[in-house]
Amino acid sequence: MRTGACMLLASGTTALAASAFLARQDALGLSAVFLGLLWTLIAASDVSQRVLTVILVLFVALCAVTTLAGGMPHLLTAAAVLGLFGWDGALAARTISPFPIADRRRFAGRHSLETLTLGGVSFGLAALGLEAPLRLGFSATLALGLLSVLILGVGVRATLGPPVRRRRKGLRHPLRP
Amino acid sequence: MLRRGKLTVAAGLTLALFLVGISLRSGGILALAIPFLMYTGAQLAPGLSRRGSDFLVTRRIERDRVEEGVPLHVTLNVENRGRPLLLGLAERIPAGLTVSDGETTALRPLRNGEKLTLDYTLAAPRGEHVLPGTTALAFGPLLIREAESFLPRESRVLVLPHAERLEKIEIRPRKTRVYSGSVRANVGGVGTDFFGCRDYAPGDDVRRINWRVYARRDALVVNEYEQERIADVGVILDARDRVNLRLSQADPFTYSVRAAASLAIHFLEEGNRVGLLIYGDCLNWTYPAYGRVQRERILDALASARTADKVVFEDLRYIPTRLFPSRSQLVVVSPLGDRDDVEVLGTLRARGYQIILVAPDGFSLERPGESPERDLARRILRLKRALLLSTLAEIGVQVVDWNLTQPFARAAARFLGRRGRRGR
Repeated sequence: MRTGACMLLASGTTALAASAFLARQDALGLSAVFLGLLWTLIAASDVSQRVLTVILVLFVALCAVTTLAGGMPHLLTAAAVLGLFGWDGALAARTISPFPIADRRRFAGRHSLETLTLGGVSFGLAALGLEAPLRLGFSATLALGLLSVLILGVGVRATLGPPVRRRRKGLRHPLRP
Repeated sequence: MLRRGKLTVAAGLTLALFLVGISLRSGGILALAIPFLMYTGAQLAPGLSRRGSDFLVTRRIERDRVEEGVPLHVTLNVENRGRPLLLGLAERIPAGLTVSDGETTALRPLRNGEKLTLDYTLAAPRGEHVLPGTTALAFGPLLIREAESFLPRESRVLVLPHAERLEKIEIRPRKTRVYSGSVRANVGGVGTDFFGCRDYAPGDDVRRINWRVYARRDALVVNEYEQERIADVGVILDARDRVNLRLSQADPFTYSVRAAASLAIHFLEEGNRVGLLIYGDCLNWTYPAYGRVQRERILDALASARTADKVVFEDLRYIPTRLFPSRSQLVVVSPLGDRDDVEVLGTLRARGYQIILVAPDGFSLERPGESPERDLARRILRLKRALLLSTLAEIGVQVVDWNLTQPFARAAARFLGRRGRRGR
């Protein structure tokens, strides 16, 4: 499972680097190569999960910058899909590492299938969005964006529950419950 | 990473890409947000289900009291009484216990009412061990760790010290109890070994008349045999840190505990009244008694015995002699510290106690030839020890100088058995 995740990460960063080099942005391309090497090495070793997540954020930022610099959007979307599911695979491999190898193998297959399905659908939707001759004004885009954020926020809140309130330290007010 | 962490990262990146895409009016960046949006959505789906998880955990241990070296077979059953999920189980194994066979973790999908069973075997050292419970991980789609919880199910296991079967040990305490047993009481009466003769008294068994003496002296004399009775035996285990020095990987105190267990069980099986004092951390006293229940009490006390470093118990002079009946038999299991210990044993001897000293030789476990200085130090300490033991032997203490590379039964047979004593 870890090998699969490393391959996804390497492919994602390669796609990003290729997109940057094709747009003649050598600095971005080299950054992508360096990030890809680092990311793959960290995913293969047992370094903290936080580092993997920090590199994911950097990777997404690099994807966005390359898009603005004129990189191929399809290739960059594919890179984002590969990077995201590589990161997820690396974390999942660590999560199930304490379990027996037979169980791990069984669930690695299931995880790969889920990843492929979700990744394929994501890429398909993104590609469809890029191909569709859709033109929206600023207000409509903003409204659509806010609506999406609202739906996302409601979903996240429903899943994670209300924010944890920290109890105030010190003496409690005698009249307040 | 729990679902909370993954969800936060994915939702945060989605939001960031949306905001950047909208503010810069970039369709490419908005397209980049789509995979992250889908990923976030996939993680939200199982979370919307409000049906909680509920498990019934049962653990069965084949035996909760075992002897050292006997494997412990454990079966853990977890029944899912909540929503179907992919369950990861990890049994918490306390330090000191090792899994010799089977698996203590599993990752399986469990429907409502289904059971997950873990079968494994543990190797445990002497002592009391507690298996606290198991950690359960619930996984959602994409192997997202939805929740982690601890399912408490405490099971206690007592691993008793290994006791060797010993050959007959002859003890001769000055005072015995009135009931018949196997200890020669130095009192004439009914027995098997010849003790002496006395004048015939009405009521004496005619078969005990010594006819040869009658033929010579023309007087009726009867043979007397030495009575065999039971005795009070006090086993003292020296658990002071300063004398139980750990010179190699093996712990000499473990050997002392095994010797104490072997001796206590041997004397109990002979019908004697046996008590145990563990001298070190506190005065851990097992009141003298007979039989199988006492055997279990003594083994329980020895199973939990630990060495300790207490100033109060720095030397043996605070052994509470009032706990042991006067002129009874004492068995001291101690590697011995210095001359003070010898003096204390001498004082006990002077008070009329018969003493057997089992002195485990911790140096026998150490490999010679590591360095000349170490070898020299060991030689000096061994000479000092030999001097202390010979002093004790001179004052009438039966000394068992136990080389720990050999079984205790052999050392006991050599120094305390009938054959060994004759051979020396």
